[in-house]
Amino acid sequence: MKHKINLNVNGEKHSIEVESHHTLLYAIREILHLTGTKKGCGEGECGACTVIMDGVPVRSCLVLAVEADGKDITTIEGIAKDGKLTKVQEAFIEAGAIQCGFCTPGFIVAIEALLKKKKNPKRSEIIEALGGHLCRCTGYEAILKAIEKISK
Amino acid sequence: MEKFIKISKLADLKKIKNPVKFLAGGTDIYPLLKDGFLENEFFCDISGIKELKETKIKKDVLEIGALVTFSDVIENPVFKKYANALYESALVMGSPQIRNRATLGGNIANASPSGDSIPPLFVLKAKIKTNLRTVDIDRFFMGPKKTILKKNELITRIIIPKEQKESYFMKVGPRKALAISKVSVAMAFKMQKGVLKDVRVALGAVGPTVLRAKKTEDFLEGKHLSDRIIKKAGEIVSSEAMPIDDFRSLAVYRRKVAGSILEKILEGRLKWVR
Repeated sequence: MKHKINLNVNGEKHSIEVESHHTLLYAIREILHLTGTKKGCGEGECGACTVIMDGVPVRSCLVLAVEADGKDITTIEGIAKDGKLTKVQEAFIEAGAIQCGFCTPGFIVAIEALLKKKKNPKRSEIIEALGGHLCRCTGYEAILKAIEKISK
Repeated sequence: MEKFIKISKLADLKKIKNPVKFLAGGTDIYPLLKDGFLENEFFCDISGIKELKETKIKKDVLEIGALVTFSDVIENPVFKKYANALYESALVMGSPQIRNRATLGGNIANASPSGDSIPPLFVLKAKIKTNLRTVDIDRFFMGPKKTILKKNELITRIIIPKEQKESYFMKVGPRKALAISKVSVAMAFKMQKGVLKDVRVALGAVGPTVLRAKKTEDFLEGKHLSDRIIKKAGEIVSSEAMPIDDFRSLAVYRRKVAGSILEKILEGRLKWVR
């Protein structure tokens, strides 16, 4: 069954057709072709597909596209404004917090959401917010350093 | 999944003609969908029903909407105040992003023996309210993934008595985030001059449903909390658990850990008395 839905993605309005079983992740990657959001496990375990929906970070593989109808979505492509990288993105580059890069969009989006909620999070709060984000290169320490640097 | 409808008012439940599977946060449903299960289900999205997102503080009870998320449980201070075990279970359920979506009603309806909100609800004497009836949580679960819910019967609210008592929850899983509990323990009691009253103990992931540990409750009732009593209670709860060997853990391990968790909760409480 096809459904017509409206998504406001990174400030741009899109009207698209999706199947009942399509996830938000599918709509973002395969219909809108915003491939910065990654599909890792597809079942909520890895965090690679994290996007911000109505101000709250969610796993886009665990949201149906039809459920996201009418919502504001921010993907990794919408984090930098006017071609200028955010502090978080700059810090990742500086700290070498990127290895293969597959998990990076999920981490960045989750951290941006955390910093909106809390300006100067403690190390324990950062670790808590990133709970369940997997980096198979195991570059966690560099990621934490990058965030700690900017949140001080 | 081919079919999908959305309702935004409880009253619209009556209009549904087909048997449906209700969809709230979806965090337990989509992994099944991905694996090809549930393909022929007719889904009904209830996530837009506003009246089920509220938590009301009544004179004697907390009335919690079934769509209250685990993040809500952490952020709304009434839970820590009146239902601390539930609050503690929310802190260790899933990951922050799962908690933003996952609902209490969904955790109950999914009826996993390891569902983290369920042991707390057992010790807090919760009642489950549906569109048809109100049932004590002790009578709600029939087996793994099985409840008394009939076709198109929807959990609408969870009612928790506000009576002032202490309650706690602890679990053991393979990692910190997104861990499915190998064993979990919830406890509630009143403490008067070091003596335990009105003790309730519930165990998760060590039986076909969440279990009340009644022998342990009887043993602890009226006892003055001490190291010796705590050790004995740990032994009793280990013998009372009914775990199985599965891919997550061996039964023998789960028995031992059930005892250890109970001891840890009570030891923490004992330090506070001293």
